[in-house]
Amino acid sequence: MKSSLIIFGFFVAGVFAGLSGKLPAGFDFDKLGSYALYLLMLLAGISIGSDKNSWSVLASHNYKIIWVPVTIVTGTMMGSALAALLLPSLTLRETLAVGAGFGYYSLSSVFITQLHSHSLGVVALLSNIFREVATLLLTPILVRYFGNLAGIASGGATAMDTTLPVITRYSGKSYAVIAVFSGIVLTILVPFLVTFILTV
Amino acid sequence: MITILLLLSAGIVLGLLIISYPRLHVINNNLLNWAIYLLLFLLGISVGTNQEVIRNLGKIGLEAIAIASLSIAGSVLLSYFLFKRLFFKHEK
Repeated sequence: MKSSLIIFGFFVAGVFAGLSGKLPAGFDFDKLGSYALYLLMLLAGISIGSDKNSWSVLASHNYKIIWVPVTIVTGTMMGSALAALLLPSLTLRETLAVGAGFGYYSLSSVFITQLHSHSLGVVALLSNIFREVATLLLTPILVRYFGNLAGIASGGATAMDTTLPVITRYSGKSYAVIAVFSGIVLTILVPFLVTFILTV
Repeated sequence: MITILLLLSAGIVLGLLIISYPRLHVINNNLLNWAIYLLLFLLGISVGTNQEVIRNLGKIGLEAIAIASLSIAGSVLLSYFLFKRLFFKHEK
Protein backbone atom coordinates (compact mmCIF):
# COMPACT_ATOMS: atom_id res chain seq x y z
CA MET A 1 0.00 0.00 0.00
CA LYS A 2 2.85 2.37 0.87
CA SER A 3 4.66 1.56 -2.35
CA SER A 4 1.52 2.11 -4.41
CA LEU A 5 1.19 5.56 -2.85
CA ILE A 6 4.81 6.41 -3.74
CA ILE A 7 4.32 5.19 -7.29
CA PHE A 8 1.06 7.07 -7.66
CA GLY A 9 2.82 10.13 -6.21
CA PHE A 10 5.44 10.02 -8.97
CA PHE A 11 2.67 9.73 -11.56
CA VAL A 12 0.80 12.73 -10.09
CA ALA A 13 4.04 14.75 -9.90
CA GLY A 14 4.54 14.02 -13.59
CA VAL A 15 1.01 15.17 -14.41
CA PHE A 16 1.63 18.51 -12.67
CA ALA A 17 5.04 18.86 -14.31
CA GLY A 18 3.32 18.34 -17.66
CA LEU A 19 0.48 20.75 -16.86
CA SER A 20 2.91 23.47 -15.74
CA GLY A 21 4.19 23.78 -19.30
CA LYS A 22 7.69 24.52 -17.98
CA LEU A 23 9.40 21.40 -19.33
CA PRO A 24 12.34 21.72 -21.75
CA ALA A 25 10.72 21.84 -25.18
CA GLY A 26 13.29 19.97 -27.27
CA PHE A 27 13.65 16.97 -24.95
CA ASP A 28 12.35 13.65 -26.26
CA PHE A 29 10.55 12.14 -23.25
CA ASP A 30 9.16 9.25 -25.30
CA LYS A 31 12.64 8.12 -26.29
CA LEU A 32 13.81 8.29 -22.68
CA GLY A 33 10.70 6.26 -21.83
CA SER A 34 11.58 3.45 -24.25
CA TYR A 35 15.14 3.18 -22.93
CA ALA A 36 13.88 3.24 -19.35
CA LEU A 37 11.46 0.45 -20.26
CA TYR A 38 14.29 -1.68 -21.68
CA LEU A 39 16.20 -1.18 -18.44
CA LEU A 40 13.08 -1.98 -16.43
CA MET A 41 12.56 -5.28 -18.28
CA LEU A 42 16.13 -6.41 -17.65
CA LEU A 43 15.91 -5.45 -13.96
CA ALA A 44 12.47 -7.07 -13.56
CA GLY A 45 13.88 -10.27 -15.11
CA ILE A 46 16.84 -10.26 -12.72
CA SER A 47 14.51 -9.78 -9.77
CA ILE A 48 12.32 -12.72 -10.88
CA GLY A 49 15.30 -14.98 -11.60
CA SER A 50 17.19 -14.24 -8.40
CA ASP A 51 14.23 -14.87 -6.11
CA LYS A 52 15.07 -18.18 -4.47
CA ASN A 53 11.74 -18.29 -2.72
CA SER A 54 9.82 -18.12 -6.03
CA TRP A 55 11.68 -21.03 -7.53
CA SER A 56 11.23 -23.25 -4.49
CA VAL A 57 7.51 -22.46 -4.27
CA LEU A 58 7.16 -23.12 -8.00
CA ALA A 59 9.00 -26.42 -7.77
CA SER A 60 7.70 -27.91 -4.57
CA HIS A 61 3.99 -28.17 -5.03
CA ASN A 62 1.22 -30.46 -6.11
CA TYR A 63 0.57 -29.98 -9.84
CA LYS A 64 -3.12 -29.26 -9.15
CA ILE A 65 -2.17 -25.84 -7.80
CA ILE A 66 -1.52 -24.68 -11.39
CA TRP A 67 -5.30 -24.60 -11.87
CA VAL A 68 -5.49 -21.56 -9.59
CA PRO A 69 -3.62 -19.10 -11.88
CA VAL A 70 -5.15 -20.74 -14.98
CA THR A 71 -8.61 -20.06 -13.55
CA ILE A 72 -7.70 -16.48 -12.65
CA VAL A 73 -6.39 -15.77 -16.16
CA THR A 74 -9.54 -17.24 -17.72
CA GLY A 75 -11.91 -15.39 -15.37
CA THR A 76 -10.06 -12.09 -15.80
CA MET A 77 -10.11 -12.38 -19.58
CA MET A 78 -13.85 -13.19 -19.52
CA GLY A 79 -14.54 -10.16 -17.32
CA SER A 80 -12.38 -7.87 -19.47
CA ALA A 81 -14.10 -9.12 -22.61
CA LEU A 82 -17.45 -8.28 -21.06
CA ALA A 83 -16.09 -4.80 -20.28
CA ALA A 84 -15.39 -4.30 -23.99
CA LEU A 85 -19.09 -4.90 -24.70
CA LEU A 86 -20.12 -2.31 -22.11
CA LEU A 87 -17.52 0.32 -23.05
CA PRO A 88 -18.04 1.38 -26.67
CA SER A 89 -14.93 3.59 -26.63
CA LEU A 90 -12.57 0.65 -26.06
CA THR A 91 -11.89 -2.34 -28.30
CA LEU A 92 -11.71 -5.95 -27.10
CA ARG A 93 -7.94 -5.93 -27.56
CA GLU A 94 -7.64 -2.83 -25.36
CA THR A 95 -9.76 -4.09 -22.44
CA LEU A 96 -8.02 -7.49 -22.53
CA ALA A 97 -4.60 -5.78 -22.37
CA VAL A 98 -5.68 -3.71 -19.35
CA GLY A 99 -7.14 -6.79 -17.63
CA ALA A 100 -3.93 -8.74 -18.30
CA GLY A 101 -2.16 -6.49 -15.76
CA PHE A 102 -3.75 -8.67 -13.00
CA GLY A 103 -3.23 -5.80 -10.54
CA TYR A 104 0.47 -5.36 -11.43
CA TYR A 105 -0.13 -1.69 -12.24
CA SER A 106 3.45 -0.41 -12.43
CA LEU A 107 4.67 -2.79 -15.09
CA SER A 108 1.43 -3.12 -17.06
CA SER A 109 0.84 0.63 -17.32
CA VAL A 110 4.31 1.52 -18.61
CA PHE A 111 4.15 -1.45 -20.93
CA ILE A 112 0.81 -0.50 -22.42
CA THR A 113 1.95 3.14 -22.71
CA GLN A 114 4.93 2.10 -24.82
CA LEU A 115 3.19 -0.58 -26.88
CA HIS A 116 -0.14 1.15 -27.43
CA SER A 117 -0.98 4.68 -26.22
CA HIS A 118 -0.71 7.05 -23.29
CA SER A 119 -4.44 7.11 -22.66
CA LEU A 120 -4.68 3.30 -22.43
CA GLY A 121 -1.61 3.37 -20.18
CA VAL A 122 -3.52 5.61 -17.78
CA VAL A 123 -6.56 3.29 -17.91
CA ALA A 124 -4.22 0.38 -17.06
CA LEU A 125 -2.61 2.28 -14.18
CA LEU A 126 -5.92 3.26 -12.57
CA SER A 127 -7.65 -0.06 -13.28
CA ASN A 128 -4.88 -2.18 -11.79
CA ILE A 129 -4.45 0.07 -8.73
CA PHE A 130 -8.20 -0.26 -8.28
CA ARG A 131 -7.91 -4.05 -8.45
CA GLU A 132 -5.33 -4.03 -5.65
CA VAL A 133 -7.25 -1.61 -3.44
CA ALA A 134 -10.56 -3.44 -4.01
CA THR A 135 -8.88 -6.73 -3.03
CA LEU A 136 -7.58 -5.20 0.20
CA LEU A 137 -11.04 -3.92 1.06
CA LEU A 138 -13.28 -6.75 -0.21
CA THR A 139 -11.33 -9.94 0.58
CA PRO A 140 -13.20 -10.57 3.87
CA ILE A 141 -16.57 -10.47 2.08
CA LEU A 142 -15.39 -12.31 -1.06
CA VAL A 143 -13.91 -15.18 0.96
CA ARG A 144 -17.11 -15.51 2.95
CA TYR A 145 -19.34 -15.90 -0.09
CA PHE A 146 -17.04 -17.37 -2.74
CA GLY A 147 -14.67 -19.63 -0.85
CA ASN A 148 -11.06 -19.49 0.25
CA LEU A 149 -9.65 -18.89 -3.23
CA ALA A 150 -11.64 -15.68 -3.75
CA GLY A 151 -9.05 -13.28 -2.31
CA ILE A 152 -6.28 -14.96 -4.29
CA ALA A 153 -8.38 -14.65 -7.46
CA SER A 154 -9.25 -11.03 -6.83
CA GLY A 155 -5.66 -10.10 -5.94
CA GLY A 156 -4.18 -11.61 -9.11
CA ALA A 157 -0.47 -10.81 -9.35
CA THR A 158 -0.57 -8.86 -6.07
CA ALA A 159 -1.46 -12.02 -4.09
CA MET A 160 2.28 -12.71 -3.71
CA ASP A 161 3.08 -9.45 -1.90
CA THR A 162 0.77 -6.50 -1.21
CA THR A 163 -2.49 -8.39 -0.72
CA LEU A 164 -0.91 -11.51 0.83
CA PRO A 165 -1.47 -10.40 4.47
CA VAL A 166 -5.21 -9.88 4.03
CA ILE A 167 -5.55 -13.14 2.05
CA THR A 168 -3.71 -15.12 4.74
CA ARG A 169 -5.82 -13.54 7.44
CA TYR A 170 -9.18 -14.42 5.91
CA SER A 171 -8.44 -17.65 3.96
CA GLY A 172 -6.03 -19.16 6.48
CA LYS A 173 -2.28 -19.75 6.58
CA SER A 174 -2.50 -22.88 4.44
CA TYR A 175 -3.59 -20.69 1.53
CA ALA A 176 -0.52 -18.44 1.73
CA VAL A 177 1.57 -20.82 -0.40
CA ILE A 178 -1.16 -21.02 -3.04
CA ALA A 179 -1.42 -17.20 -3.01
CA VAL A 180 2.33 -16.76 -3.48
CA PHE A 181 2.45 -19.42 -6.20
CA SER A 182 -0.46 -17.93 -8.13
CA GLY A 183 0.92 -14.39 -7.72
CA ILE A 184 4.34 -15.41 -9.04
CA VAL A 185 2.89 -17.16 -12.10
CA LEU A 186 0.68 -14.17 -12.92
CA THR A 187 3.51 -11.67 -12.33
CA ILE A 188 5.76 -13.53 -14.77
CA LEU A 189 2.88 -13.79 -17.21
CA VAL A 190 2.01 -10.04 -17.28
CA PRO A 191 4.72 -8.80 -19.72
CA PHE A 192 4.31 -11.81 -22.01
CA LEU A 193 0.51 -11.71 -22.10
CA VAL A 194 0.24 -7.91 -22.54
CA THR A 195 2.73 -8.00 -25.43
CA PHE A 196 0.92 -10.95 -26.97
CA ILE A 197 -2.51 -9.29 -26.76
CA LEU A 198 -1.33 -5.95 -28.18
CA THR A 199 0.85 -7.21 -31.00
CA VAL A 200 -0.86 -10.34 -32.33
CA MET B 1 8.56 -5.90 -29.11
CA ILE B 2 10.68 -9.02 -29.23
CA THR B 3 13.45 -6.86 -27.68
CA ILE B 4 11.42 -6.49 -24.49
CA LEU B 5 10.79 -10.21 -24.10
CA LEU B 6 14.43 -11.01 -24.88
CA LEU B 7 15.59 -8.53 -22.24
CA LEU B 8 13.16 -10.03 -19.72
CA SER B 9 14.38 -13.56 -20.44
CA ALA B 10 18.03 -12.45 -20.32
CA GLY B 11 17.26 -10.83 -16.97
CA ILE B 12 15.78 -14.07 -15.59
CA VAL B 13 18.94 -15.97 -16.61
CA LEU B 14 21.16 -13.24 -15.09
CA GLY B 15 19.03 -13.40 -11.95
CA LEU B 16 19.60 -17.15 -11.68
CA LEU B 17 23.35 -16.53 -11.96
CA ILE B 18 23.35 -14.09 -9.04
CA ILE B 19 20.88 -16.11 -6.96
CA SER B 20 23.35 -16.61 -4.09
CA TYR B 21 24.52 -12.96 -3.89
CA PRO B 22 21.86 -11.26 -1.73
CA ARG B 23 23.68 -7.88 -1.83
CA LEU B 24 23.16 -7.74 -5.58
CA HIS B 25 19.45 -8.47 -5.09
CA VAL B 26 19.12 -5.38 -2.90
CA ILE B 27 20.90 -3.21 -5.48
CA ASN B 28 18.76 -4.67 -8.25
CA ASN B 29 15.51 -4.04 -6.37
CA ASN B 30 16.49 -0.43 -5.68
CA LEU B 31 17.30 0.15 -9.34
CA LEU B 32 14.03 -1.55 -10.29
CA ASN B 33 12.05 0.77 -8.01
CA TRP B 34 13.72 3.85 -9.49
CA ALA B 35 13.12 2.66 -13.04
CA ILE B 36 9.42 2.26 -12.18
CA TYR B 37 9.32 5.73 -10.55
CA LEU B 38 10.97 7.29 -13.60
CA LEU B 39 8.58 5.59 -16.02
CA LEU B 40 5.50 6.59 -14.06
CA PHE B 41 6.79 10.15 -13.76
CA LEU B 42 7.20 10.16 -17.54
CA LEU B 43 3.71 8.69 -17.97
CA GLY B 44 2.47 11.54 -15.75
CA ILE B 45 4.25 14.10 -17.94
CA SER B 46 2.70 12.69 -21.09
CA VAL B 47 -0.71 12.79 -19.45
CA GLY B 48 -0.20 16.37 -18.22
CA THR B 49 0.83 17.58 -21.67
CA ASN B 50 -1.94 15.66 -23.44
CA GLN B 51 -5.08 17.79 -23.53
CA GLU B 52 -7.23 14.93 -24.75
CA VAL B 53 -6.34 12.67 -21.80
CA ILE B 54 -6.81 15.53 -19.30
CA ARG B 55 -10.23 16.35 -20.74
CA ASN B 56 -11.32 12.70 -20.58
CA LEU B 57 -9.90 11.86 -17.15
CA GLY B 58 -13.36 11.19 -15.71
CA LYS B 59 -14.26 8.82 -18.53
CA ILE B 60 -10.88 7.09 -18.28
CA GLY B 61 -11.45 6.60 -14.54
CA LEU B 62 -14.85 5.00 -15.15
CA GLU B 63 -13.42 2.69 -17.81
CA ALA B 64 -10.66 1.67 -15.39
CA ILE B 65 -13.16 0.86 -12.63
CA ALA B 66 -15.39 -1.09 -15.04
CA ILE B 67 -12.54 -3.27 -16.33
CA ALA B 68 -11.19 -3.89 -12.82
CA SER B 69 -14.59 -4.76 -11.34
CA LEU B 70 -15.51 -7.17 -14.14
CA SER B 71 -12.04 -8.77 -14.03
CA ILE B 72 -12.39 -9.34 -10.30
CA ALA B 73 -15.95 -10.66 -10.71
CA GLY B 74 -14.92 -13.08 -13.49
CA SER B 75 -11.93 -14.50 -11.66
CA VAL B 76 -13.69 -14.73 -8.28
CA LEU B 77 -16.67 -16.56 -9.80
CA LEU B 78 -14.47 -19.08 -11.62
CA SER B 79 -12.31 -19.53 -8.51
CA TYR B 80 -15.49 -20.45 -6.60
CA PHE B 81 -16.13 -23.37 -8.96
CA LEU B 82 -12.48 -24.43 -8.75
CA PHE B 83 -12.62 -24.22 -4.96
CA LYS B 84 -15.68 -26.46 -4.81
CA ARG B 85 -14.26 -28.99 -7.27
CA LEU B 86 -10.66 -29.17 -6.21
CA PHE B 87 -10.66 -28.38 -2.55
CA PHE B 88 -13.93 -29.79 -1.25
CA LYS B 89 -14.01 -33.09 -3.12
CA HIS B 90 -11.17 -34.87 -1.39
CA GLU B 91 -12.02 -33.46 2.00
CA LYS B 92 -15.29 -35.37 2.08
